[in-house]
This record gives sequence, structure tokens and C-alpha cells, in this order.
Amino acid sequence: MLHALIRRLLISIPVLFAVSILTFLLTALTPGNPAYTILGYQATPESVAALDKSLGLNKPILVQYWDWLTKAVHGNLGSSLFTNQSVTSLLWSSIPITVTLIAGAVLVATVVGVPLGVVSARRARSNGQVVDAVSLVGFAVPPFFLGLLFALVFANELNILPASGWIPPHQSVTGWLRSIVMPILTLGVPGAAIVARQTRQGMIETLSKDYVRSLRGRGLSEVSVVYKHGLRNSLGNVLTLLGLYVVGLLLGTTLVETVFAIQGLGSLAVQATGQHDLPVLEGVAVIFTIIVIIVFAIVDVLRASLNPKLRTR
Amino acid sequence: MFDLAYAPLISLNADGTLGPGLATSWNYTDQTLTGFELHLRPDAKFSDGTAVTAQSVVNSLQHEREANGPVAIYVNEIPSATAVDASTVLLHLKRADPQIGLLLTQRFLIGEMVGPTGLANPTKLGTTTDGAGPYMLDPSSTVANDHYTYVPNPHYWDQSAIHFKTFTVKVIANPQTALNALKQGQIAYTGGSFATVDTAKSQGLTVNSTLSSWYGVFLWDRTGALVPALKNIQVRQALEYALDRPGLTKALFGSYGVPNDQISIAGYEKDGYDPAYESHYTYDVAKAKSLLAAAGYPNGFSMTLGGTLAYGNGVVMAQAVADQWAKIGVKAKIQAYPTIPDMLTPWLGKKLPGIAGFYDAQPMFIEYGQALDPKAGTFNPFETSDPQLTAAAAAAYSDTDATTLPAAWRAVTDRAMDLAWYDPIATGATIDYSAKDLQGVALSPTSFVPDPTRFHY
Repeated sequence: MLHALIRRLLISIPVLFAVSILTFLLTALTPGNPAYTILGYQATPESVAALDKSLGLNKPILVQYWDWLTKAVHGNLGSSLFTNQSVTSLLWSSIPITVTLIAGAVLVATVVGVPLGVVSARRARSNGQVVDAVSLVGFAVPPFFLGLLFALVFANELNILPASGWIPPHQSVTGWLRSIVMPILTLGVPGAAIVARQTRQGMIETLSKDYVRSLRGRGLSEVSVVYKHGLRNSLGNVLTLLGLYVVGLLLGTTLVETVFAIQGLGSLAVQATGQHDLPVLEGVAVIFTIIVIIVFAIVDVLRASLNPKLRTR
Repeated sequence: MFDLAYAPLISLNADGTLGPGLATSWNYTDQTLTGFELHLRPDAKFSDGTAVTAQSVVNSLQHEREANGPVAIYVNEIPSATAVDASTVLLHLKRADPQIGLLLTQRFLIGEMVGPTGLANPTKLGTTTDGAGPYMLDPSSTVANDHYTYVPNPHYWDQSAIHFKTFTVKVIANPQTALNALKQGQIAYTGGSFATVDTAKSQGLTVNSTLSSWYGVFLWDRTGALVPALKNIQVRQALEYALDRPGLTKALFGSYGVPNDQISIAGYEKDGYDPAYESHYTYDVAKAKSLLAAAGYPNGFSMTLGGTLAYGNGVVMAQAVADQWAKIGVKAKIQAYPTIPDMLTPWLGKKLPGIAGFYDAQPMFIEYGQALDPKAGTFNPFETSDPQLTAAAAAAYSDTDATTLPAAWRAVTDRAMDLAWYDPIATGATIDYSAKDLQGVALSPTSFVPDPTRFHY
């Protein structure tokens, strides 16, 4: 298992390079000039040319990439072209926010989705159809729409949750909790629907296997059969799904953070894209990639802990 | 946001008049209108306690020129400045400039002075402030791109004008989120738009608005490089006559616009707007068709019109214009762009014959340099020139007689309208929303961005 993890981490190094090159090239190929965004569209061509030169944007794209890379490997991700803030400090202030939202969404998806899936797998067919229908709706509703709907109900009409913003926990724990409820629910509700569906399918499949019949025949309690043996063997696929769900959440945060005016990695990415702020975009892309690598490493470890056969691979 | 921390040399009042700022009085030194003297208040200090002196003003203007930033186009009107004494600054103007006072207000930024500490280390000004305004940025309570917290400047000359212990500027990208936050009381003020104004009204928010900008089509390809027909003045005038401005205005702006075919707006009568030229291009499809036929295009022609929702709802406006041009046989294909920077690339690369957008009204003295001069840059990508227009502008720029000057600038507007380089449709409003109990939010055509330093409950 340890070897597998090390191998995965080693593979992640060229992945990081590939992501950084792709981000650089895609941004360079996208129309638009950050100098115009900084100076305003009424800027003179001379002002734009001068700013291009001072920012190094007049150099060939590969030279720009090499300049960035040589600094990045030494831990210097550069500065925002717009705020002049170091990219590292921007990332450090945004990472805890996005990670909190993702962790919260995964928690909601798991705590709600898994029991719902188990219950529906054990009960009548109609329950399964309800779960299927709810899953379909949860999967189909776009996060930004769900977010706006939550804001309309809980902030605008009922006035019980703040419409926007992030309150750091060190400022007010209650305020922090109130500020993350809607963003987490917006991200977590569709996840819960997907997890419930996957859990239900896995449980139905597992509970129909011969060894489960044998366990029941040996007189094991239904709770033990379902939760100790059935659920344990069904969770492998759920974990893989959760890994993919987290990858999807990275995209989801770009929308949800914008809807709730929260300055996490997602909205940082949106702003940087609109402004062609290459250093910030590179920083966010690298962090997103690292998060994906870490999440799949965790999924591997958890899957191995549930399934002894995987530990020897 | 700059206004909170950086006091201007001259303050622009909500009604468009000029009032004291860092300077308590000002005057031209002679009849040529090329020397402008400012007399600074003695008690003004930057937020680090350093006194605002004539030399610090000279240094700040010098920095703006050298930085070649967004305000370069304005500050270049002042090639140099000298400190006459500790509290008197003499600005040496590039040419006779009847509007230099307006240029030195908060609207154009160049009058907002930066202190010596900031000038010594300009890169730090991205995360700190060094102005003489009523507030200063508190970096420890600020998260870039999320919120900016300002606290009172203890050295501000009028402490009674500071109304808030903290003033937070919250970044909210989604307009609906901003409306929700305003309704809930999380924020007290936000900018608005034609798209959200009805929702804001229905939610009981205070809607502030003033007519401020002209909206329409900007025909760039007056040389006919991309669309040969556009080189012909009759063709361009035909496009003007083909627009039903009252109908378009009602559809696009509702009650927040009035029809307008000038590249200036009412309220700027001394600065280029010509009441005698109102409704110059009255809707007349038959006349438009006959002009096209006379120009050799009886069956019309095809062209591309760029637009982005981010720039004056340009895509929608372009489509509405295209529908009307279709009636005279002109087929306009709409090219939509997600953002302004995305559209700028083909625009400046001379790949777009025209776009739909808007222009914030400015005195023609400034607008000519930005939008009509052959070297205007962004707003004249094909570097089009017209001898009559150039001569009219030269005459206006050299006119030092305040009684004849308005007519001189109107002549520039009139010639530009005859050329039909631009097809204005309407004067549209700047819209914003505020909490019911927030005072000091006042707008006018000249001062259409409220001064946040005047906000109070």
C-alpha cells in the first residue's frame, strides 16, 4: 500500500508540470490583455505597451513560463498582476475557505446520503424509487441555481441566514457557522443525492450475494449483516464516487463562492480568469491539482482499510 | 474606493459644481488658460501625518505621468507643475484648458494626491494607502478581492466629516447576491443595472439614477478596410436614419433612458452638446434606403457587429440595431464576446468593423482626444481622420474666450455627427441602490458616481 502511495505521489509531479503548462498555454491563447484590464479600455497603445513590458508580458510565452517555473520551484509563485499581492498569501487566505466548504459538502453528502441509501435498499421498492427521483433532481439542479434559491428563501424571505460573505471562525464561531450553512448545503445536497443512489445500488447488490445469505443462516443479527458486512463491502464504490465528487466540487466552488460572495479558491480562479491574471491562475491550478492528488490518495487508503485485498497491491 | 483614502485637489459636488478639496481656491493665471494655480489648505495632512505641500502635489502629479497608468491620458494635459510657495501650485497646461478644474476632481482620479511615503514605495500602494482623505486602508482587516476595510484618518482636516468608525467595501460579483445583501442590511449601497432595477424596486430598495452616458453603435471601419460600404458617408448616415431611437430606447432602457443621437448628452451644453442638433437623424427608413441607393448599395451589405453583455448590454443592443438595419437591407451579424478584454483583441486588431457599447459623457474637450482624434487609440482603431473635424477641434482647443468656447465645441460635435462615425441611440442612466436610511447618495450627469465620503446615516 505504501509503495502504491509513493508511486502515486511520484506520478503527481509530472501531472503538476502538465497542469501548469496547460494553464499557461490556455491563458495565453485566450483573447485579452491584462494590461488593458489594469489600465482600462481607454488606455493608449503606448501605455499598454509600456505596461506589457514592465510586467514581462511582451516576452514569448515559453520564456514567460520558464521565468514562472524557475521561481515556482523555489517556492515563489509570483504576485497578482492586479493587486500586487503575493500569490502565496492569496492562496493561503483562500485555501481554508474552499477546503471548509468541500469538507462540509462531503460530510453532508456522506451523513445524509449513506443512511438514506442503506434504508432505501432495505425497504420496499417504492422507497428506492423515491431515492432515485430525489437523486435525479439533486443531480440535475445546477449548484448556482440551488444557491440562489437558498439565498432567496433563507436570506431574503426568512432572514435567518446571511445572504453573502464568509466570517472567519476566530472572529465569531456562530457567525462562521451561519455563513457556511447555505454554501455547504448548496454543494452538499446534490452530493447526498448521488451518494444515496450509489449506496442503495451497492447495498442491493451486496445483500443479494451468497455470503450474506450464509451470514443470515448462521444467525447473525440483521444489524450486523447490514452494517458490518453489507455496508462495509458496498462502501468501496461510494468512496471512489466521493473522490470524483470532490473533483466536481472544485468546479462547484467557483459558482457557489461567486453566488455567496466568498473569497475562496473558486472565486479567486473566476476573478483571475476574467482578468487574465496568469500568476494567480497558475497558483490556483497547482493547488486544485494538489487537492485532487491528496483526495485520491485518501480514497486509496480508505478503500484499502475497508478491503484487505487492496492492501497487498 | 480611491475616494475614501485619497482627497482630490478639487471636490466634485453631487450637482456637478466644483468645491474645495485639498485646494481651497484656484484660478487661471492669464487669459491663455494655460496656467492654473491652486491654493492648498494649510491643515491638510496625509494619513501618516506628513503635511500636504505644494511640492508633494508636484511630486504626485509627476509620479502619475511617469507611471503611465490608467490616468495618463488625463495627466498628460499637465506636462509640468511647479511649487510657487509652500501652499501654491502652478500647473503648466499643454493647451488652453477650460475644464482643468473638473479634471482635478475625484471623477478623473489625477487630482487625488499620494503622499511621499507612498511615492517612495509605489508597489506597496496595492495593499496600503497614503492619501489625505477621511479614511485609510486597514490592511490587517482587509482581504484582497473579498473586502477592504477603511478606518478614519486621524490627520484628516475635518474630523466632523468622518461618519463611520469602519467603512468596509465588500466585493460581490453576483448582482443578485448584492441585492440580497442590501435587502438584508449586510451592505448599505451597491451599483445597479438595467437588468436588476425592477427587482430592486420590487424589494423596496432605494433606486438612485441619473442620465450619464450615451449608448449606441461605434463604427470603427470608416476607412472601408473590412466593409467597403462603411467608407461612404451616405452609407453611414443611412445607418443613422434607419434607427428608431424612441422605440429602441423604450425597449432597451425603459424609463432609464431618453432617445439621443449625439455623442454627448443633455447637461453638457457648454461642453459639446448641441440642442440645435437634437433629433438630427430622425427615423426615416425611406431616406435611409435612398441614401444607400445613392451610395451604390441599393440592396444593402453585410457586416459584423461586436458586443458583450459586460459592456452596456452590448449584445442585446447590437441585436436590436441589427433588426432595424435589416429593414434597409443591411445584414449585421452579431459577434458576442464574454468580456470586454475578449472583445478588445479583435477590436484593436482591426478585425471588427463596429461594436455596440456606451461612453460615459465627458466634456468634448476630453472626448475629442479619446474618441475622435486620429490618434485617439482605443476609440479610433483605424486612425480615421477628417480635415473639417480636425480643424474644428483645433479652433476649439485654441479658443480662450469663454463666451465663444461652447459654440466652438458644439461645432466639433456637429461635424462628428455629420460624419456618422458613431450611431448613438440613447442617453442611458447610471443606476445604483442604497439602504433607505443611507444619506449622501446623490447623482447628476456630471457626477454620476456618488462620493462615498459623503455617505452617512
